[in-house]
Amino acid sequence: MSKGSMMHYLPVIEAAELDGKLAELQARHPKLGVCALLPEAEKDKVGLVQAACSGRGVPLVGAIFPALIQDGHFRTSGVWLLCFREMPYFKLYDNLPTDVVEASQVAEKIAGELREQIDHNPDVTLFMLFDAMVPNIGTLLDDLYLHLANRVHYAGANAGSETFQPMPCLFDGVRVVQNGVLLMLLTSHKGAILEHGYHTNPHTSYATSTNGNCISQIDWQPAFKVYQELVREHYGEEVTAENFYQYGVHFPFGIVRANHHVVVRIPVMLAEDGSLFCVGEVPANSVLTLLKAPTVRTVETLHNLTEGLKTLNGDISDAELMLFYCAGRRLHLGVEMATAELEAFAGLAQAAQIAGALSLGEIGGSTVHGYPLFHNATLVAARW
Amino acid sequence: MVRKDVLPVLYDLVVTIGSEISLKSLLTRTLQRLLYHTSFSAGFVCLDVSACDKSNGQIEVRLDAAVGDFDLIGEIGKPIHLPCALLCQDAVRVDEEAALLSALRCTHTQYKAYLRLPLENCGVIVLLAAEIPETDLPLTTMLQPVLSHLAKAIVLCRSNDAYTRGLVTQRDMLAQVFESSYSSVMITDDRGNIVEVNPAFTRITGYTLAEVYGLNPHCLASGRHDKLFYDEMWRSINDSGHWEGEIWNRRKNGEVFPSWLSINQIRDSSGKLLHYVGTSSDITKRKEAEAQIHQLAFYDSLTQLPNRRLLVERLQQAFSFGARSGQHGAVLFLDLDNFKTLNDTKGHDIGDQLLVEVAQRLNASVRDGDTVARLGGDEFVVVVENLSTTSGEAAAQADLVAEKIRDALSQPYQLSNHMHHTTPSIGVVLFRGHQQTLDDVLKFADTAMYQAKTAGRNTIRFYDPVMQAAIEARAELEEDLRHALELGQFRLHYQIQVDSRGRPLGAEVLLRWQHPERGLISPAQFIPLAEETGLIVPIGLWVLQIACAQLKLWQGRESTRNLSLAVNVSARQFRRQDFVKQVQHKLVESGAKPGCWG
Repeated sequence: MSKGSMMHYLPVIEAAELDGKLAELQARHPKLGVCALLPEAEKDKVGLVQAACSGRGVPLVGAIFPALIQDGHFRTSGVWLLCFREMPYFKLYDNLPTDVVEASQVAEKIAGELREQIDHNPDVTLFMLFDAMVPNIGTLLDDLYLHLANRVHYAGANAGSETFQPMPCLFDGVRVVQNGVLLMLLTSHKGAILEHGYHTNPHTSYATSTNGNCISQIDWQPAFKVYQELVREHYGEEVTAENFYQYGVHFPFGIVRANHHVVVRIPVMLAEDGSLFCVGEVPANSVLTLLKAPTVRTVETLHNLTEGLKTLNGDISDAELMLFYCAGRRLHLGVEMATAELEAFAGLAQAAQIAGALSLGEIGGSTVHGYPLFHNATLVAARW
Repeated sequence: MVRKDVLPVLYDLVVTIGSEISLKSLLTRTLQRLLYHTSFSAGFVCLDVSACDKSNGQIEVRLDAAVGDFDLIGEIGKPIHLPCALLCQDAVRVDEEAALLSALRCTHTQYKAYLRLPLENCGVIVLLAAEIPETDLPLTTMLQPVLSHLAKAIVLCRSNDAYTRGLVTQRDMLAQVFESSYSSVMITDDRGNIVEVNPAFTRITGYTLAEVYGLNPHCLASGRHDKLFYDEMWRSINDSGHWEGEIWNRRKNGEVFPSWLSINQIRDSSGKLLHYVGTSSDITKRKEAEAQIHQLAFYDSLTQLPNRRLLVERLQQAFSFGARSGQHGAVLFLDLDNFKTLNDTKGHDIGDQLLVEVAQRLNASVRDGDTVARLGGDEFVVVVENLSTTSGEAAAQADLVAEKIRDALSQPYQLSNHMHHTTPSIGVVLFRGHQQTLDDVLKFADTAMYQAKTAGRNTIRFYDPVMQAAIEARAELEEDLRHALELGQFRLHYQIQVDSRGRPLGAEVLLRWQHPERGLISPAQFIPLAEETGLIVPIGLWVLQIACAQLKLWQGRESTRNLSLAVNVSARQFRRQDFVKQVQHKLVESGAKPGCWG
């Protein structure tokens, strides 16, 4: 880690060490601001971080994730201090509404506030950390896009507990909230690259009846019935109500978006009427395709990710990178393979440091300046 | 192109279009779905585009919707000049048109390709992309039926928007009326439970909606109205759907206040009861104003005594009462002697002070229920009710009141630093029922008052000459009675008392008044007067003294030694605490033996 590093991992969260690190950084950057990432196991230490920053007058935001990514490994202890020379605009919203009309109004309000903060800098990234328990993240992103469109790049990840139990997981200098979103406007930032590496199955279906993250019908038939047929037809596996929970993560749905981009939706719950619940919303009449685990091609995924970063930022060797890795992807690949993927990415990118977290959903644009989408099973990488 | 690839796209677009009811949402959502299916990155819609045949010219349009481009979104609703070549003519999918698209002045994306989709007679949709998206779909032809469908939906949505705007305007207006109304408005459900109140309700009662929501309006009851009142109210509401009236309610702070309440039933077109709406105004201030008006209308502002109008009202009531009871009443008309001189010499302030003091003394001189009024200037009227049914007694009673007033008003007045003496002249008229008109009674009293003035002021005069003569005679008798004792005009007569055989046992003392001019006056005439005036006490003592002397004289003679003497004692004298002592003293003084008293 070079002396000028802006990403600092503290393996142990202790008041004295935090204060010492903040003092050291503040000496170099008097207007220092911090985005802190904590693993779920250290959630009780948020207060310590808040107190340390408050004591030094350092603006703070942050989030709690299932685990951290550091040095090519998943960590369940310590804290990442992702630093800013000067704290950018940020705002922490809690208790986001789920009602469509109210959500639209809140998005309009948020967009209005953001618009006032956007200066003439052409490259601005709206970095969003959502509580993964917010059920309408896709809708909120849609609504935000209607107002901000291609004026900003979109990137982000979902925080929370890997058990998907409600937990206050977003914080600023004084609050720790849940059901909210932490927004930051990263200036002179060219956005993030998002990749999952799943390949589209040529066969497509239509989610003919959906409600939020629930698919009731596919091609006008009960969703689970169609899901069983698709898995049987394309992969020769027999999915039943009993073994559904083992298969879901390995045979996720893909929502085919514009330009044939595919958004992964992992089915996680089966209702008695045959409806399927996914992690993330499924818009009505979405074009669906069935994905399969073996089609995850790690090499291609990491290559695309690295090349994407280079396209955006130029040479990234010795740069400091931020990486969010989907918890669902790690569940699908297994910890060993997921760790190998982290190491491979570090080797490919040749970055000075990679800091990040195991996330519960990722946000990225479909293209540069493109539509922000809520993904599962992806890697999101950006220059810090 | 495969049929199965086209139909789901059309299906999605038709469902999207069919599910929207407002124009803005319809255009935005349709644009979003078109971008999704075509992979173009941005797009806009212009409606009401004029016909244009200048392929190289420009046309002024308005962006009605834009998606995917921040600059275009910023232009929504504004007039903008765009090339006819971009907007007009048939549906087309074009690449390498950066120069044409630069007219859009989009700074974040340099568009090179576009897809133009004309809407039937009402506008155009233009989708934009930096690089033309690859597709096997025949977009310009396959979307035609959807665009036709969209054109009709635009007409319907515009109509619905206009209708909704009207409703919203009306709703906003009603909401503003509801919110800003100075009158309290309370809405209940069909069971009478409160579901809505306006700010005026909260201002007047002190209760917020949260505090009264779901409660019955009876929570405001003051307790001033009985069950019959509420029964009548609900009978009216149920029969006619309406009730209006004055009601006393209680505020949150416990204060009871009057309000004017109007309750209406609200029913739907089928007659089903939906709500009760109660509109009310706090009329506390109105009540106070009414009281003030009443005070001004019926009371003299200087003395706070009833004025002529209220006097007339009270007299009418007194006439009616007299007609029913047969009792007399009296009007005492009085003014202050030499009041004008006081006003002229000391000023009106002093004069006013005197009038206020006179008013207070008058009020103190009459019974509750009697009326003291000021007619103006220094003229006052006192109405005395519940006098005797016989005119003589009533006249005497009225005279007593008049005398009391004369005495009270004749006492000195401390007016600022000035001590003032005045006297009243009082005219008196008796009345019973409606035997005389009200005007006549006041006129007669006024006349009597002038007679009193003419008679030398500080005088009481009755209007009826006979009654006046009787009163005067009584006054003269009283005056003579005061002097009768010192002038030795009383005589004692002894009426002998005998046993069964005619032997004398003693005598009963009889008091007689030998008036030098009127001759012997019957005790029946002067004893009641002596009792009324208190003269009975000295007269009674004189009787005792003379009777004791007579008894001593008898006891000194052999023939009369054993005779007893009986003396009648007035009840008033008998009730005096020192009566026994006085008798003992007279006996001791005379030396007579007490055993011969009867």
